Amino acid sequence: MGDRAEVVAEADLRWRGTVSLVFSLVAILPSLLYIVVLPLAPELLSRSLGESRVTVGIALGLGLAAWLVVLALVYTYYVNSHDRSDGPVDA
Amino acid sequence: MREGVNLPALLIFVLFIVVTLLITAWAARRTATREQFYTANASVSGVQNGFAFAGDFLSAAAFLGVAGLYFAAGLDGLVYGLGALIGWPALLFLVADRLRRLGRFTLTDVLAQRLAGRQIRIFAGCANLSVLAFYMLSQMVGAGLLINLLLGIPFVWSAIIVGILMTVYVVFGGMVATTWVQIIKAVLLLAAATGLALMTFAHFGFDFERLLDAAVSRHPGGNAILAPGGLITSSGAALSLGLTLVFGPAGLPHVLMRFFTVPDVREARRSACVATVLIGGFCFLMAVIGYGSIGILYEAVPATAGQLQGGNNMTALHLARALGGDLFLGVVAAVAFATILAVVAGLTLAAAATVSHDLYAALRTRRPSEREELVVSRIAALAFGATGIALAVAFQHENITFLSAIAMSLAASTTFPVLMLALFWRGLTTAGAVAGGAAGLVSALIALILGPFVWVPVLGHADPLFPYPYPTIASMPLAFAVAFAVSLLSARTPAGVAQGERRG
Repeated sequence: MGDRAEVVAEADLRWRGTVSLVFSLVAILPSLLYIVVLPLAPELLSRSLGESRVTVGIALGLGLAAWLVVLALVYTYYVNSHDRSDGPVDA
Repeated sequence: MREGVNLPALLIFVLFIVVTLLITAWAARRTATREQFYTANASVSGVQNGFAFAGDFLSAAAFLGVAGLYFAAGLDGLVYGLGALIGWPALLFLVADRLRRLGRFTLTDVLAQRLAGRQIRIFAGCANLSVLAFYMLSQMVGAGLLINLLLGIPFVWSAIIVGILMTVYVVFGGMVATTWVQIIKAVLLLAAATGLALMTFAHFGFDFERLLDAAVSRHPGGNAILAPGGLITSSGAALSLGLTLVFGPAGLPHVLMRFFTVPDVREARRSACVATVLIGGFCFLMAVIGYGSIGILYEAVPATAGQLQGGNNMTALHLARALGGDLFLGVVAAVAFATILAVVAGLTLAAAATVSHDLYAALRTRRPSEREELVVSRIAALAFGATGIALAVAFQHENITFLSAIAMSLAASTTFPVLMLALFWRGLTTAGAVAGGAAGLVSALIALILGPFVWVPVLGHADPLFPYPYPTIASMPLAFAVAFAVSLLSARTPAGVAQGERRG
């Protein structure tokens, strides 16, 4: 029983680690990219979207905010509904 | 902005103080044990904690400063507004889960779970206090300036009022009172920002195109306000700023401590998620308020060359008066005041816990009793409050942006790397953690002194030796590298083994 519990806990730990890593990458990389692109490509970011006053810079900025919020909601719903453990975690 | 005392503002200030002091009196009866004092007995729900997170994290700079930045430079305001949000993914995805499982009261507890207790407690305690002291200083200086500007109260008295109130909340009410002060502040701030954004949007017929049209046609910069401005000049500076904003929050002790106030890991995730949603929504509100303020204020309020009366930081207040008269101005000004109090209360509590639970306990030969630790906590809160007032008065003319930059950079370069390695790498040793954290701390401070904030304006040199305002691009990788290398080296020595590093 003890071995089986350990195997389940180890699998659960790996699963949570993978999920958190994937979500971290798809959240943090676009955030860093947006800030780094600001001085590199100001012309691109100041371009209007069609006839609109809204520029690529504004759309990407607000889009990034929306993306991070959506990721937070999806991650929390997904992990909270699948996570069965509450005990201490190993590194 | 200062044209005599605004009566509605004064009344709402007083009402806020009375309500929060009543809550403190109520909380004081529920604050007898360490668990209650440090973590509200882990009885805060995820949603409540999410609001408290938002109350803790959305500072006056996120509201008044960002609105002013939009008014002056347009899109740069959006970039800095996002700064309050983009640190939350690291907190939610990387930190919340493992931190809540391992910790009890403070960030240092988490490190002590993995590493030999005494040295790591002393190091982490000192690192935490460094971050908290600079963060507190920036908030206190900002508070003094703001209250002085809004109410005409001299800077010294403004700092004393804020210092006394935050100390009272923490000494008597501990985490319970601090949490509720932050929840009330978050609700007030979000309600005021929503009201201001709706009134602004209504002014332009709920049409964002019309709002942007008005902003472009009235701002001297024209279309330039829809494009990146001159705040970030190079890709290196941008990356350094990005690393600071993304990883700095995950090293702030007062933010991390809040994860221990919820009963379990699920509520910890839920609380960080609620905070992300609230802060994300706040970014959208600020976009409407910021661009709308250009369209409205350039028409309604005398603005000379983009400079508002009282400075651009008063943009949100001018907008409130233009749209809702003195009453709405009073509401928004009172919310700004509440914003400051909630943030500094959280800092004071984290500092008190660091001194009593981490440093005092580590420096004593025998473990202090619970009662003794609580007494030390309260004395530490008093001392931190008094020190905050004294430092605010001494540094009242310093650049607030610089003080905030130090705090966030130190967090990203010191506590964040050590915490990440402790959570995710079994090979970390005490020697590695201390050496890495110390390398991050020292290199960040040196780079700040050699950088554009100090080397040129304070020390009078022509060009900075370190080119970027934020040192994180250099100091954070250095902290990781040193911690990694020293851990590998010390793990091979008998002393490294004998230190008793715990591997989970």
